[in-house]
Amino acid sequence: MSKSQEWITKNFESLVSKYGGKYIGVVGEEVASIALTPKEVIEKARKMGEDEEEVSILKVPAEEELICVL
Amino acid sequence: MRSVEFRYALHRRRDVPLIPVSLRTGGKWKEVWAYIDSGPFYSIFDDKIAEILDINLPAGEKVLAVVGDGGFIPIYLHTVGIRIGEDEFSMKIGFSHKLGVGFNLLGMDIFDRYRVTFDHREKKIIFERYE
Repeated sequence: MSKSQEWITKNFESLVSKYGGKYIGVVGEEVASIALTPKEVIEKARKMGEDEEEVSILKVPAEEELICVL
Repeated sequence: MRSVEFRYALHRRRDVPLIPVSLRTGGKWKEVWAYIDSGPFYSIFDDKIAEILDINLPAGEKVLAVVGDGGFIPIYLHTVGIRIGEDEFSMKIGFSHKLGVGFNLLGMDIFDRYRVTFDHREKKIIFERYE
């Protein structure tokens, strides 16, 4: 797994509590952009000089959605 | 048999089978995360993901998928390039604006290509590609 993939997996719980219901873009070990749509996530990351292929896009579930699934 | 392993995400001490996959329709790869769900026949992604893949949603085949409460949601099927680990292939993915869960879903169709092992003791999910 890449660095960003491992970071998302390890930090999933805190990502849910901080960003539940939003899309985030992770590069390396940082949340590079936060938005309501993945298109905005990519656009924001691009403006910051990130290569879009390096952005890992996560639709972060809200707490209640996780309870529903699990 | 080629294989790739993923760690479970963890939420409130529960394992969440959430993995990264890359998608494209001719342009650059986009890495998005999806929940492995043996329920739906098709993999179903949020329609907003179709947007970043430059997919014209209504141009796809429209089918109805049953969801947890017994209701139906419309999904539009499109053939998309997908990469899991190093393995690249094409498959039909459904996109819907009515996906009422917090995740994109990797459905039963993925199990045609891989033997998927949910190893709870080792806290990992193993994808082994069939020969």
